Amino acid sequence: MEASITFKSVAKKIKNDTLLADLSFGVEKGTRFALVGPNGSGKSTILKLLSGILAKDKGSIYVKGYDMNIRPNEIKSLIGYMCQESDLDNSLTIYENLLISASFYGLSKKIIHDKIDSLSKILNFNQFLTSFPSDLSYGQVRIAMFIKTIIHDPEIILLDDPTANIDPIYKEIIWEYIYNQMNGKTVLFTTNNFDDAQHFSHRIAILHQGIIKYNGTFDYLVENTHGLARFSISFKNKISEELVKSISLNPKIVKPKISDNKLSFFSIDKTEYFKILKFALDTEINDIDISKCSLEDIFKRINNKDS
Amino acid sequence: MNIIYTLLNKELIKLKRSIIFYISIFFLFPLMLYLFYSIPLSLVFKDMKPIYMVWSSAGIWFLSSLFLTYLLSDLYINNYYNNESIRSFPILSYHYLFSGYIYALFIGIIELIISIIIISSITSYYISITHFFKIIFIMLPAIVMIYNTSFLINKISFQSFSKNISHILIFLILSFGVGSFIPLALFPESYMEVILYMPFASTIYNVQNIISNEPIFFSLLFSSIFYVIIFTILNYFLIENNIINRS
Repeated sequence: MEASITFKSVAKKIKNDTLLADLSFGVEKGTRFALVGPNGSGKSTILKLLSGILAKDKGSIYVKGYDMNIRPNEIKSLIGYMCQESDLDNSLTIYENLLISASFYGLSKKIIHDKIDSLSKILNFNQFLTSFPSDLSYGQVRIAMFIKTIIHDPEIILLDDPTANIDPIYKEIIWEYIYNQMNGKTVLFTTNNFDDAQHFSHRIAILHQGIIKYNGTFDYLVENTHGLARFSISFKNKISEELVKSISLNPKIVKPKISDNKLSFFSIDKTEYFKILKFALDTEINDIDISKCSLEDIFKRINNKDS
Repeated sequence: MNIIYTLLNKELIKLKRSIIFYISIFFLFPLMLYLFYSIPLSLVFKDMKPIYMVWSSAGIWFLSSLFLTYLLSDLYINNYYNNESIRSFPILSYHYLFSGYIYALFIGIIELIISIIIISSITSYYISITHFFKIIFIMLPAIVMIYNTSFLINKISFQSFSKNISHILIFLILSFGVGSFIPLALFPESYMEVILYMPFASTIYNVQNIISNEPIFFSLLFSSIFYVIIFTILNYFLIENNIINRS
């Protein structure tokens, strides 16, 4: 597969904080790539470096083979960037905001008008085009920003937490568009919502303290946990001391969590679960559950390991 | 060219939206300068040729045009240079630079024309068409220079307080430091010799010469153009380093 974005040993410091340290990764053309990581891990910095808002301190960034150092403007023409905060001009209407943004990419007024018309219809946004950003809700502003990002039909779309703090209806509109209408485009997005990353991306990178800890498909990430699965048993009554003791002494059980009447843990081996289940059969059980490790579990594991 | 047009178009849409406000300011500012500067000072400078009311017209045109350009350029610069997301658009340094100059020239010339019309009507001193175009031509480097000044101050002053102080200082310098309302001959000779070759003083001196039907000094005009070139190069590199290649 052709690489769309390549980071080679990129480092970035802001003031005295190292946000990225020797970061290397690639994004294949036509894939949706999710960047997840705790706050301050450098997710937004990666997008800002790619969009040309920030300049790297070290390393190389290539977009479609163009070197960011040599051809920044060609790269900017290929990219649509949606930042976290509203970047719409409050003294212009949404339509004017979109018109001005698209004009920077050299589109004619007629094409821009048609694009605004079609995108606002698809995203159910027609009625807000003549409004000012300050009159709209946060979710509506995000939709407007999303239209602004994709209006010039960029090959690479960078979305900084596109659906953060917006209601499920707008969230669904945005993800549905990305999922159904952006096939063939390279989409790099950051998110703190693990479900979104898990469902809407082809590949996921977990960023931690400026470096990528894991990078791959969700299945690959789960494999990397060596087949850890999450098990839980809900008891009707309080868990017996004996059971608690046997669990805490069992080396094959990872991160057991015991509340009053609920027990959950991770383990590679299902037999451990069956053993506990057998042991627990003497007491009354309300519910049992076995599930694959979620992205959130993997993320928490990585963070706990380091802290 | 398309990008420069887009950058300008955005500001023009905003200007149009507040057109009543801007027209009021454009008309009121020269009137206020006439009321608060020219009338009282005409009682002080009694034996001047031409009479102070006429001589100070040049100062009103100069100050109203340059100071409004300075303030509106500051807004323009704030909109574009301190806006993070605009950097993600494929805009080059010269697009920023020339769109800024065109915007400043647009504001400056409009205000210059308005103030010439208003003040000429009040003082009943009408300038010829040749003088009118000469004044506009001589003012061009000063307008570009005031945009450059606004840009530099915007880059240096990070806090709104220091920026406000800078605005006051610019107003005071343009009003009293370069010979707009107080003849430079009243300043110490050494000050006059130095300030006359600075861009703003040289411009107002030539505009006053036009009003007095005296020849303009091309050496002063060239010194203004020289400063404009130097500051344009400086600003270009500042844009290139601070906006295009951000750290």
